[in-house]
Amino acid sequence: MLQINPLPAASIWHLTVSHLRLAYSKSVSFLPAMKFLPTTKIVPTRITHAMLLMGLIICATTVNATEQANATEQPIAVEQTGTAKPSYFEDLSIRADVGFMADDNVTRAKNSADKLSDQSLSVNANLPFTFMPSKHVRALFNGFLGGEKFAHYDGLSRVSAGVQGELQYRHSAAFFAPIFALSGRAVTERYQSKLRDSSRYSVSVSMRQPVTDRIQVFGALTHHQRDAYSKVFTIAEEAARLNLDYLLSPQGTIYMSGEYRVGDIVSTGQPTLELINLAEVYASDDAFTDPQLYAYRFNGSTVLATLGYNHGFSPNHALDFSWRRIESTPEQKKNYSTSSGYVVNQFSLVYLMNF
Amino acid sequence: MCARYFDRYFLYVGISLSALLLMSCSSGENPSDVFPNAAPVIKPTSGPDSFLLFPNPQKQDDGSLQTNTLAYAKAYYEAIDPGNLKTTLADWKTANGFGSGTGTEVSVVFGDVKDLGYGRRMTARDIGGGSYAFMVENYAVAPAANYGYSSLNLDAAVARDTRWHVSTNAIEFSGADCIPTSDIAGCDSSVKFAKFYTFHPTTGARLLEANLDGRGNKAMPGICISCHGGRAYPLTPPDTKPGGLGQPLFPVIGFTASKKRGDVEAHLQPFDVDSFSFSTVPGYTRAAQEAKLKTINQMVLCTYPKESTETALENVCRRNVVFGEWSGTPVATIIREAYGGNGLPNATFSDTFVPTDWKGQETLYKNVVASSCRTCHILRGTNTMPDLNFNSYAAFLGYADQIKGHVIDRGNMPLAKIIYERLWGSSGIETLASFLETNGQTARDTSGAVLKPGRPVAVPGPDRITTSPATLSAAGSLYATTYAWSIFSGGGPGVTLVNANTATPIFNALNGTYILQLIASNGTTQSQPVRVSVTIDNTIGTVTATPKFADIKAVLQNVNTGCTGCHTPGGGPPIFYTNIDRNGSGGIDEIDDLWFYTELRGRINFTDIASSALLRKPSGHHHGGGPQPGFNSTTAPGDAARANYDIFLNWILNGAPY
Repeated sequence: MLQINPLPAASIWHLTVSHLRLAYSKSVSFLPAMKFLPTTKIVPTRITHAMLLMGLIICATTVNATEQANATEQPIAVEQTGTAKPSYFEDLSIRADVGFMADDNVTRAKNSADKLSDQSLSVNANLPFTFMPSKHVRALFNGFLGGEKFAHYDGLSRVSAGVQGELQYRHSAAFFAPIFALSGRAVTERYQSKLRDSSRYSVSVSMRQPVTDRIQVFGALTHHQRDAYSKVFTIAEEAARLNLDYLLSPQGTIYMSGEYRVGDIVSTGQPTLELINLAEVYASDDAFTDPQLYAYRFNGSTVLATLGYNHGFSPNHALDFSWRRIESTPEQKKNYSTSSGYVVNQFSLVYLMNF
Repeated sequence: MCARYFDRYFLYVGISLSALLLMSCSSGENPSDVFPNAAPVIKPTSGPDSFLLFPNPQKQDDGSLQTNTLAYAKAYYEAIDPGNLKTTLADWKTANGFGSGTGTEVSVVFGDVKDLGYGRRMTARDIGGGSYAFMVENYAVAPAANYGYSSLNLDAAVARDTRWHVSTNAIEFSGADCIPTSDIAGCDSSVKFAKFYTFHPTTGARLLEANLDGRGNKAMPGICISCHGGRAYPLTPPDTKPGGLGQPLFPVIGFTASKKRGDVEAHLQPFDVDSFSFSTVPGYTRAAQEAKLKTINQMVLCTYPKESTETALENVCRRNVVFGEWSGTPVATIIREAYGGNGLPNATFSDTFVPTDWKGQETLYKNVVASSCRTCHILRGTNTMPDLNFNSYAAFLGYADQIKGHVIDRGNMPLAKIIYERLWGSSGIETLASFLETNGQTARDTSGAVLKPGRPVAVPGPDRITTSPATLSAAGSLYATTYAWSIFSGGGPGVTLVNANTATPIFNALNGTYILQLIASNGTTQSQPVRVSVTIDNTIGTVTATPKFADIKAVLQNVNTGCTGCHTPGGGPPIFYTNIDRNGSGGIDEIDDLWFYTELRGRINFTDIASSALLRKPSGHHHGGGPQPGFNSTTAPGDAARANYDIFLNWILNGAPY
């Protein structure tokens, strides 16, 4: 009756990976896959405390957490076998993904003359770790490294490293029992574009709720913060996200997600009166060779819609395809404004591995 | 298993430390970030920063530049609007009939690429009766342009975006009531002249000062009239006669047709349509506005005094030039030629004109004069001495030394920042340097590069005759903070320099001629050494060594000198040297002498003594009367042929005491 996806976190992975496509200009960050697997491994208490302490310190010092939060699709502690194993670490394998992404508006430009498209390849590695301090609570920790290389606009290429932690709570092992989570995340990024060099932080509260044995929904409220070398890319956003996973087959999951963000928007384009009027700060964008391209930051809202399909070939291999549409709208508009904002379409193909 | 967890543990530690290390590297701020909502910052400047100031700004004993003071602006507005009827833009518009439905009114929007860089929304109005009024809203998206022209400025003007509306300038060409208590006899209220106003972009209040070029506020009317042909003469002493205002009055320019205080002999600029940029927005393209621009140019043309030779139909609206005043013929010719000649047959402005007297020097004219000098200079000069309008190569050549001083050394020309920067960023500066070098001026360094203003330049002052001890002065040096004087020749027993490393050392010497040398420095940058000849003659009298105003006046009024043949009411010059009732008290007394003294000091440029009109004019530099007896500055100090020049020079070097 209960169908278990052979790669339960696959759809999460894909959301994560597709988020990565926005990471250089949006504060959306990717979520390394974390899946909960039953374990019987016993870890020395000394190490357990040390790792927990480290996770807490990092979470405390970064004052943030992941916007992801949808890190599990399995009940906490009480597994299908019904046996709780508190205070145990789960021995998780290394997660990695290799992706290709095509972006039709890497400048996030409103005017067609300023829109530039590009493609990128990315590689990411995650080291997840789980700790279950009690029957109803699970702590997750993850460290990750990644990189993305753009084909034409190398200023957008970057490497990143980060940590995240999440504390999950589930009051019962009943199938429809929701999982609540509080998470934090910190990432540092180094771009070819110096203006974009930054640290990202986020904190999030989330809830995951199975609807049927095929459908699961996930919702999260997240605060994003990014501190960059240029104030243009120093941004803050509040986000509300709703995700739906639909298990088509034991191997295939279709997912869709909608997100609404309010806060800072960054757009690059040639100077226009409208952009100058909207901008709180701007700077010549060093990611592009055209010296007439400036990056602007202004207030506004963003709607993100994602549609994806994930196919698991085995418990350790999956392929994901997704399309994301992003539309940002400035908060203010002048009477001579010609359109509302920018639109971006991203297509990504990601291969995920677990080893 | 434990080992495996240890491995993972260290992996986490490694990743975490790596992340934290990378985060710690993200400090710093991008200095190129621009915050458009922040208050504009007046950038500290080094080097030349004399934009929109007159070359002779009337430097006072306290160091202030009188033409750039609020007192000067107040006196100006009191002269042109004695009833304070136009203290707001609304009042000014009402007074000039804007929106009344009468007369002809046209509006255009263009990018003022060549001048102040604004997007400008201008409305011109033919009031009737030969009077005109022009108002222009200036738009500058300053953060983007960082002061300079930007197409955004034009976009803002088209959109009429109030956020970037930085000022409103207005000019009215009309007559003005003569005020018996302050205006002089002969003031003619029927004579129309240009009056300049600046209003606050938001409140509409009339402003005494404005920041036109991002370099901070400067006083009215200098920021306008410095490039509109205006003259910046000093204010009078306080008008203390019975019924007088009790405060300094704005000066009278002697040769103006109006004889009205506030008539600074400034004029309207022609619309150099080719130099403008235009929007692509329908209604604001050049094609859409060409006819309106021609209408405005025709209005402008009508404000120019004409010579009797100008008989074509478009000149009917122009009055005849008065002897001694500026002639509008050269600039009228530019407008006329741009529209196809007499009758202005062409609908489209096209400026390819090269004046007849520039034939053979077209490159210099087009690359330098037309692009960097003409806008302001074409409105200068007089009909008796037109050289300063640079309408001939000979006139330009005659100013080679002054051009070198202003452009290569001082950096106060071109007068406006945008034009200055464009000249230095173009091949024009090479063309100019070659012209200067060809004509005996040093304009390049030893590597052949054009010398740029901002480097220290030693100015020890003109060759002179004086008595010992003599106070020397390096105060006229440019961009210098330290000085080093030395005795180059003539040294010996009894010849000393005291405080030789100051701006004002004391020179002790026996009778004789000595060559002193000055090197001025700014940090580690030294100027070229400059030498000055100082002749010590302790036998010269006080008239030559320490002259007073009375001594100067005596020379000016000496029949043999001949100055008063022209410098008298009815003559052509702008200043009169005869004894006249200058303060309108009804008689001639010592107060008139004080006013005379004040006017005469206005002929001294205390920022550039050698360029003072009081020295250059009588010594034959662009002087309608030619060289005057006793002013042959080419002879050695002490020579009888320059006796008067020596008196004038020592008076000036001593601070021009009363």
